[in-house]
Amino acid sequence: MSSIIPVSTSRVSSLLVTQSLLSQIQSNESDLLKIQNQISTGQRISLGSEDAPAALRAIGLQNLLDRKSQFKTNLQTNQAYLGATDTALANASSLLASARGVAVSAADGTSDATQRGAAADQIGNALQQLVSIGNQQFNGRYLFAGSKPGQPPFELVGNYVRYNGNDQQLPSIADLNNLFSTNVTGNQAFGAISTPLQGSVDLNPILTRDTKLSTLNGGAGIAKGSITVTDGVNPSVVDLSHADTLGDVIDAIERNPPAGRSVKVDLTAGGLNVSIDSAGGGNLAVLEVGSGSAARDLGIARKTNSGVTPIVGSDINPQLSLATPLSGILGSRSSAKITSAGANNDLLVVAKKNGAAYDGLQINFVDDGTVTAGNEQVTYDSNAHSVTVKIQTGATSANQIRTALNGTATFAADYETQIDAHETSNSGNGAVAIGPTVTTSGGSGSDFDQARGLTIVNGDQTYQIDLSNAKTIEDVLNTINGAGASVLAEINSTGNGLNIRSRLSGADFSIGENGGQTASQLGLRTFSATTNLDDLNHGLGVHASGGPDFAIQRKDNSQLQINLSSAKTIGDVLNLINNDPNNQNLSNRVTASLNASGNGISLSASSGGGTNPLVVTKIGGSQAAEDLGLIPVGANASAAATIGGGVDSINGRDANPQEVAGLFTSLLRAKTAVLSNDLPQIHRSLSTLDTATNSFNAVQAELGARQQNVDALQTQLTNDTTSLTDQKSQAIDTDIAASITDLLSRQSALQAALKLTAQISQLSILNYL
Amino acid sequence: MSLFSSLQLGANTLQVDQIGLQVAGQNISNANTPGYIRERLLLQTADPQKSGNLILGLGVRAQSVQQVVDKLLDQRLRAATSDAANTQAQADTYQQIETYVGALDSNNLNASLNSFTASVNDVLNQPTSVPVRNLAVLKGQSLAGDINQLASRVSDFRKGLNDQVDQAATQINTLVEQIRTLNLKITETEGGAVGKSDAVGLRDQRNTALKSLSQLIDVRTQEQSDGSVNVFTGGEYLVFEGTSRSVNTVATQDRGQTVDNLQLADTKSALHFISGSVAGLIASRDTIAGGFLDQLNSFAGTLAFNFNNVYASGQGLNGYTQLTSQSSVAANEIALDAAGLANPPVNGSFQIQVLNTKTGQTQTTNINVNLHGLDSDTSLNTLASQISSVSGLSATATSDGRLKIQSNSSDLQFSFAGDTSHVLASLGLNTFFTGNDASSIGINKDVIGDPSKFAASGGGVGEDTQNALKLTQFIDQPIDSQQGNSIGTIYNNLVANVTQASSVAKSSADGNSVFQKSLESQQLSVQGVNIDEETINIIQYQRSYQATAKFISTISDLLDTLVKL
Repeated sequence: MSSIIPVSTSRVSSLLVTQSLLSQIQSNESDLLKIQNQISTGQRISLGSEDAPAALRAIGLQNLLDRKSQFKTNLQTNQAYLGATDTALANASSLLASARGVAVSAADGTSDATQRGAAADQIGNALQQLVSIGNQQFNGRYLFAGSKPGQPPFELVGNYVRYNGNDQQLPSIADLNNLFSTNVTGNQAFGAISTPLQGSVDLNPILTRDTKLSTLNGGAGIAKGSITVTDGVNPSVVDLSHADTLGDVIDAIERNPPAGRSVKVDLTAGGLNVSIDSAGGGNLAVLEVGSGSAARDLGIARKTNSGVTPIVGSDINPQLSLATPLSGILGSRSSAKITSAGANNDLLVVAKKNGAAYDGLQINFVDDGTVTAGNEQVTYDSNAHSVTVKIQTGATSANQIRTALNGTATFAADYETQIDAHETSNSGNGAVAIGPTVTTSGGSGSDFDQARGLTIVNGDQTYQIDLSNAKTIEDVLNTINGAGASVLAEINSTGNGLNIRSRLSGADFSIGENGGQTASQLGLRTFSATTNLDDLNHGLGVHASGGPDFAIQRKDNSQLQINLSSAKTIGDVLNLINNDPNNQNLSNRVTASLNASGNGISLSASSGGGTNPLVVTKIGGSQAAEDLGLIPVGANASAAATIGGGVDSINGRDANPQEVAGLFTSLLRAKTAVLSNDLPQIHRSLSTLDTATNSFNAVQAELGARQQNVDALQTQLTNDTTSLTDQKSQAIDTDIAASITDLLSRQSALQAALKLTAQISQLSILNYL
Repeated sequence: MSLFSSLQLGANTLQVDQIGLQVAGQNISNANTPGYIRERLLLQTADPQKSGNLILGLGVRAQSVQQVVDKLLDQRLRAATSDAANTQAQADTYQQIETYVGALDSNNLNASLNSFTASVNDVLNQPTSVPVRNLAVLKGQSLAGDINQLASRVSDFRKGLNDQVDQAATQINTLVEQIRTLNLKITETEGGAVGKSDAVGLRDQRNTALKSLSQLIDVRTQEQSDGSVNVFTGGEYLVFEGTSRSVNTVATQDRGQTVDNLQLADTKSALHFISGSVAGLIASRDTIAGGFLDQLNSFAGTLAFNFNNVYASGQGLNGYTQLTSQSSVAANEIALDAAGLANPPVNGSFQIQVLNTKTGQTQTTNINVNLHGLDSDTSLNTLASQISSVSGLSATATSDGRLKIQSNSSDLQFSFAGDTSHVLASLGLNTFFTGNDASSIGINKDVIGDPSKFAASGGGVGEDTQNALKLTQFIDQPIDSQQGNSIGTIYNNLVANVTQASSVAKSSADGNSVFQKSLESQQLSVQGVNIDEETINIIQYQRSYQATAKFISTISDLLDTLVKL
């Protein structure tokens, strides 16, 4: 208690005098104790309440200091990793230089077999050392393994190098809201995963009730919030903040219609349709709430006065996800909804297969008085695209029509009839009225060919991927990843297709068909009509001579000469052969197509038309046919197609093998090429080695820059820490000079008080008596 | 008029002077007695005597001995004493809580929280190291332990406050009884007449007792004409003339603790005090310490649930082969958001991943948690059957309301991801913290037993550190249910509230105390003894005595003269 009792009186009692002296002494001593505490602890305040604003400032600053200290630890720990990575890369760099020197010396073709063997051994050694650098471990972390640094990333498998790591970064926190990457992946540094094929197929999953909102709009999702559904009179705010799937959205909208109305939401392949009961009139509109964008994100925003016309939602483009069912990725089924007034009687006719071919089916109900309920008659004409059902108006129920349609075998083979899911109970016992003709629509794409599967060739192995049991995208990915083909199957970054990438360096890799359409449908086929000729043979391309390049010897012994100078893609080559004016005679026609199994160009002739074998021969030394894979490497003509009972054909080689572009591939290729003295391949491997080395150097440079950045951040943190400590000190630390001055003044006050006490207690009238 | 009557006059004067000396002596002897009220001898000229045409004075008469007292000041002082005691008790409580929080120390909750976050940062730095994950678990344990300790300290402190309230009841009863007895004695001694002498020592004692009582509770007093004092608190009397009422305590439950409040023993009507230390103690116990506990509980509950919410969608270095939920529902068949969970889930979904350790392949299944308020809402039973339909897993809702998930083969490990429904955190599946308030917060035994399960990965078992990254940033992430405050902000608010309230309480207590002291000094200046004054009084009476003696001796001489005639 450091206060002094105010004296506010005219009379003084002895007790008052002593008590007020006592209280003064107390107050001085308590102040002295406080100052003593300040000086001895170095803290101006020991409890926050002594100076609340300063204390709170100090707490905030201490908090920041704690964080910064951890950021510093993060930087230090990871600087060690980055340093070790840098050392490993530097070692690899010198290794690469010497390996390149060896390959260059063998590139002039003058060395003999022994020299080439030695050179190949040297390259092989360099490769092994590079693998061991790739598997370098530091403080429990495999430096180049990506985000799974617990296992060695590189593995020598026969003549190839397999990468078992991934391409993900390990982030750490350098400062508030500042992440930095603490690793270089094996793929970044050495090139260990092949680049994904740029497919042209956009897998656009159809919408289902289970489609997650987060996958919509290409993965951007929808803004969480509410929308307003109104009939122009009564608005209803629909809270979608807890909606997770489209089914949730549909339920939420249908459960909260404008007062007295009924709103239905139907899913189409790409969007939502919102309709309102027409009886109530008004203007159906869907509006945003506040500055939200949920309605626009769902594609159903509409402000205009369009009466009760249903809102046809725009395409809200869901991304592929692991759970996407395979049935919905390649288009949609045609369907039609037949509504009658009253409850429990709406019907839905859905095609059994994807495709626009099922659109335009005209559905009619007629009542010619000849049938009774329960005995409906169906007339289906698949050519005229029409189906007519004779019903008894007012008696025939939706369910009876369903039974009749599904019971008609020809119709049931193409279409399935259901009771609309919106009807309260699905029994469909309501009577159906005769309305206008209804036409099916909305079909697109085709069904996924799941039965045949894929053929993956990687290295010396061919893997048949059987997808017949797959139900979802994840099943497809698991089947492919689990086939042991050293490939990495994943959903691509935009979420509209699949990637299959090879993890096996030094190996040729391709994805082809297994007699069906599976690979093409998924956009995975590495050798397709759109493949550029320049990309073939590892980018060596197709060497057309400018004149006729090859001749196809047909079964009637006539020759078809093909000039490839105008061809840019495989598709062009197929067209050149198939559309050649000299190849239009049905009797001796040769048809070019892609191999039904695996990859390559297939030439086939129909039966009859002669007895000679089908042969492709080079013309004038043009390499084009060899480059296209129609003629074996080094030969002048294809092996003659055997004469069989049905179709005679030549199945060409896959001329577009893929590979992992990187250091390991280049070195492995160089080693093989040097051994076999294959000069073009030596040159190619040198050029890919240079490309890979360039990107390797770029990674090294980037790593150096990152290390510098980490250094700079550390300095920055040290400065921050100093300034924060300073601020904190100003807030709560003792100002020693001030405290000591204070101490002195308190001391004199106390001395004065003590002296006063002594004097006053001596002062008494008794002394003067 | 006669000489003898003059002699009588002298005798009267001598007697009065002796009384005067007695009073001065009494005052001087009690100069240092606390609570002593100085006395004053009231003198009066004696009634005159008519002698012929003359009216002659008969000297002096002692009228009464009175205490010098300012009753209004006494009342004000008692009120000020009550106020000061009330605010002082509250300020002491705040200060105690501040000491427990230790905001400026190096060992406080904030430091534990930062140290825990730092250990999660280290998991980012060394994702493969199980000891580093174990350290994160240990730091989590010490954070939970610190929260528990703070809660139990504050609870113990509340218990101490409650004990003081209990003791106050006894003290009040003793004082009330004392005042009643003194009332009786004073009435008897003074005889009820005005102007007669005050029952000096008794009134001092009663004043002291009243002051002690006002320190405990706020009282109003009314002095009656017979000298007794009636004491009231609120609308109830405690002492009325010769009767008194005692108080006792009544126990109720508050925040899991027994708390006692005062009531009148006879009518059992509750007493509500506005000031005095009992009011301060009750406010300290219920509002200050109790309010702090509420905030601490909310902080701990928010921390546990929201951290778990992020944590539960992550995966460790290993998956689970079996797992039982930490929290239980009241009934297995009712919707999960109405099943009595402390943090009910919302509509959403999560993924369950089944990793085949032989093939390294993961099968992901989406589990929808429907909570629309419709019949189809997900209950524990339907959740169990949804999980059971995942190939390789079987799940049951146990009879005690928990979810038990088991993989059907030791090669199959399951893990969780992408929970938008908060059902995992809500049920306590794959969580880090357990409990939902400051005293119950702890760490899940599953992760203590196997720190490799610390859910650092976001892309599957042992795949990456994406979830650890989210966890390190958790402290600063705004939390929707907390008006966008982050857990760091919530803690800072907690500390700021205590610090600022403590500061305010302290200055209020200081102010009241200064006011009380100043009234006390005023009181002292009125009723305190001044020795110089008394000495002068003594001299005065002494001189008067001497003069009277001279007068008597003169009269005696006159009588002698007369006798000798």
